[in-house]
Amino acid sequence: MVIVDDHLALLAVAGQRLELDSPGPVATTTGFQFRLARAVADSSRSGDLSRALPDPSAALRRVLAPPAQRLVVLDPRQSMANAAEVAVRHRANYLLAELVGAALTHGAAVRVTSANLGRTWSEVMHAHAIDFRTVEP
Amino acid sequence: MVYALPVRRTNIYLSETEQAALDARAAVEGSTRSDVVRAIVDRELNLSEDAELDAALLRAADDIAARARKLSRADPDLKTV
Repeated sequence: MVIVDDHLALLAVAGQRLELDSPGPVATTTGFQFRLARAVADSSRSGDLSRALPDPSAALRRVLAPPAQRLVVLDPRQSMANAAEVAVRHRANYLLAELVGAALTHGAAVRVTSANLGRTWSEVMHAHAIDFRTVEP
Repeated sequence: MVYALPVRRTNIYLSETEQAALDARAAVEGSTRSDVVRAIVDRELNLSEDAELDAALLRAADDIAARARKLSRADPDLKTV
């Protein structure tokens, strides 16, 4: 399994084949899904976005319930214990703690776009021996 | 039976209760146990296809991702730090 950020998750939802250099299903966390859903829900406030998305409600439904063969949204309850431990040990916020907790729980690799790379992320991932890399969409 | 998409025979284990429930639904709908299972799987796993929506999402992907980052900057739990 490979866990991706919101940008890569959106491309996966839309059916784009991603070069993630990791086998197994593509998944994301609820934190990243929320960021994505909020951006789509907010699209009518952005001129460029509202023109690009003629049916925002259909786009939102797709993001909220992605085709499972393209993207799986991980249940945070499964990795909550690991996420809490990561938050305490690294003073990580929810987005990072859930991401690392999910990677540890599922033995998954993590791929994010460089625009979403937090300054502490590489160090935290390395501390937990997670296969972590940035990927350009 | 003619299927719209290719299907493959799959054996799964179900309890008597599950089989009875599937058969009851199939009888009401005038369909088969397989039809009912496929419909449930499609619905649960969101398998409907929409090529136009896919294309629109791909066109807007960079802008949506930028919007997601912008909206999250003011959100301590969801920003990338």
